[in-house]
Amino acid sequence: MFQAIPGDSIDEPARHPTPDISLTNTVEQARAGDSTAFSALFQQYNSQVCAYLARLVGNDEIGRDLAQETFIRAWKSLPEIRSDQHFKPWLFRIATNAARSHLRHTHLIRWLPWQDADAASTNSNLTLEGPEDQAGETECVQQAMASLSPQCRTCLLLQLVAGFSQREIAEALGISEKSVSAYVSRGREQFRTAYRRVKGAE
Amino acid sequence: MKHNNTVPTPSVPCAQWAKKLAAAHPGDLSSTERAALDKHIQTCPACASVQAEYREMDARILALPPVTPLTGLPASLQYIFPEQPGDEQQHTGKGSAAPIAFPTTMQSTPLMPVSAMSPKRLMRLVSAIAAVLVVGALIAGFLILFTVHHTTLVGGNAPSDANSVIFVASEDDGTVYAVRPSDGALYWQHTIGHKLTGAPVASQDAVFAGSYDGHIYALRRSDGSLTWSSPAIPGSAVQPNFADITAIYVSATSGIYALSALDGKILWSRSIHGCNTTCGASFVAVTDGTAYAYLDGLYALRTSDGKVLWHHPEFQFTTRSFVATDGKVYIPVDRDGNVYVLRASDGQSIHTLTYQKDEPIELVAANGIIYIDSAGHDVYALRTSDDSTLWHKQFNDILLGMSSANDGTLYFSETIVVADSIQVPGQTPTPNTSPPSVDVYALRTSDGTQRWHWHPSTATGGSTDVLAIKGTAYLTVGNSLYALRTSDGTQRWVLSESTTLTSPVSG
Repeated sequence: MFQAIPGDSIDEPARHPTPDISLTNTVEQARAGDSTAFSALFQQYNSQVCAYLARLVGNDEIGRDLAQETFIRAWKSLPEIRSDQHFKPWLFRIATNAARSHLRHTHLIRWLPWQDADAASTNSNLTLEGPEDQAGETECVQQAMASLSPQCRTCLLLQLVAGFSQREIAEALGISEKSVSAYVSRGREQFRTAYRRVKGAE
Repeated sequence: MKHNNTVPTPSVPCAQWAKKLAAAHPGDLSSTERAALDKHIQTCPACASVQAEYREMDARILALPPVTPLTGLPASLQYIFPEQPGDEQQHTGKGSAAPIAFPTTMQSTPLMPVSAMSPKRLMRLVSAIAAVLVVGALIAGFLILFTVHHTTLVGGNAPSDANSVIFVASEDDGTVYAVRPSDGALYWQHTIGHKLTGAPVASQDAVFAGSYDGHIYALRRSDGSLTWSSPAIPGSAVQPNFADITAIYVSATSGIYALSALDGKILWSRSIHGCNTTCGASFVAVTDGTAYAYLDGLYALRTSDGKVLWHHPEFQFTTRSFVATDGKVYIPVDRDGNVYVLRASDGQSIHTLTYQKDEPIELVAANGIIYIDSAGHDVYALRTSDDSTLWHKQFNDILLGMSSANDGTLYFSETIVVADSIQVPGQTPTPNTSPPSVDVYALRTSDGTQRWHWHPSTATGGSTDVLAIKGTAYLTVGNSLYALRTSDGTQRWVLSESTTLTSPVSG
């Protein structure tokens, strides 16, 4: 009677066309309470927000749960967005905080449901045939990502998955560009080192 | 097959170019900086190698299996929206959706329209409002006078009675505080000196905190002195979940661990096996000699030795709350819209409660009643003896963050757009950040009507769950721990520190 939750989905993320009206106008309409405009914003950012959150918490299902909350919270707080604020950093700020809020909120939530990179050498999942095995590669990348500090991971993913510049990351997180630069730089170094370690241990 | 590769030493970039090498976005560097970097790369093999590797790593991250996006807007928004694009069939014959006004307050009995009132009644109403305002101002003044704004250390031993001390911690500097519930003064504070992974947990004798260095630290409840530190636990995110008089239950990315409360030695553990990206390791409840934990599915384990009592691979790690009470466990699964009710003793299904699919389901239980929030719109109170509905209330607004149901009050604590998302010690957030909006709603557990609503005028961060004990509701907002009266939501005191505080806990 229990519905099994499927593992890695093979579905390609839907590609959504850019709305024919400008983003600024759409945000303005959504801000005024136009649900159609908000739906268009949802269509545009759904994939990126889900991917960002799933990578951030290391779990696709939880990423989607948090994406749901992100869009609910975005709709609720949209009337408060200021005209000089950019929508996308603002949305990813809500997404980041949805993730952090979950982590802080209860003892149930762990930051990382991934396996530890140090434990990789003893894990049977990683003793796969052939070094180019896709599952093995995915595990290695995930484990390397899991070993980053939350701040570094957040900044690196905002850069790679959301396609933000360091200025936009700074806007999304409310910290200085200098800090973002340090986090991104550290994150890249940590990721490179961790990936090589995990790969070497395979 | 294992490969005995020796790990090659990664190239080290030149210090002055390290940050620029990590700048991947075209907008991150000016054209002059970009040209200078390109010129340097041509003459520096180390930096060239690092840049090539960064690009390779980017490609590997982007090549992860795609994440399936949401199939549509969250249903709670569909509930509000008359229609949405993409539903072509529903659009036929209709124009675009009319703008709608989202209600910002909870549903309540509408006041009589002013135009329908007699002048006398109007005068009475105005007088009453004025009187309420005057009384409110007096109460506010009184509260300001008697509010703790700065840490007061009273010293002395913290009592060992249940729920007689509130513990809170600062993750950044690894300090644990023992707070006196009556006035917010401190019995003690202890700086562990390592960044903490989250809120501490407390037992009758000790308070335990997990650190990013992989150890659990036990502080004596009475005076905060360090009793022991555990052996290093494999994996990251080493976090104490629960504690009782004999053991402390800890989760990490590598698995779950029961440590002896006496000396921190590992009593038993279980690691994650055959995990894909839907796994997670965490204890979700410890009660009546049984520990419930998510690993590759849900496990019920005997607390004394970790023996598996039953296991359900169908139930995967979830962010949602988990309730074990009155011989039953309640498991919410958002995507099904179901709360699965199992017998605690053997994991057999008793029945399934069905709510809205693809919506957040939150649960809390207290005093023989379980409260279920579906989609933030519908709150149900069920008697746990037979899961019959005591009441059901619908809200116009979306109430998320149901966290506690004590003292006849059901709490929701929600934050929208938090300002402290990533705090850098010693640095002020840039001024163009939105202020967070923190709201706590308190409903009567008897019928779900609103008792009070609390909205701090100056919030400096996200709010935590509410901890309600003996007539006071505690919650953390950013750097401050607030104590509110559960009867009317007035503030008793606030304790402010220099860094973000964790959820308050007691034990």
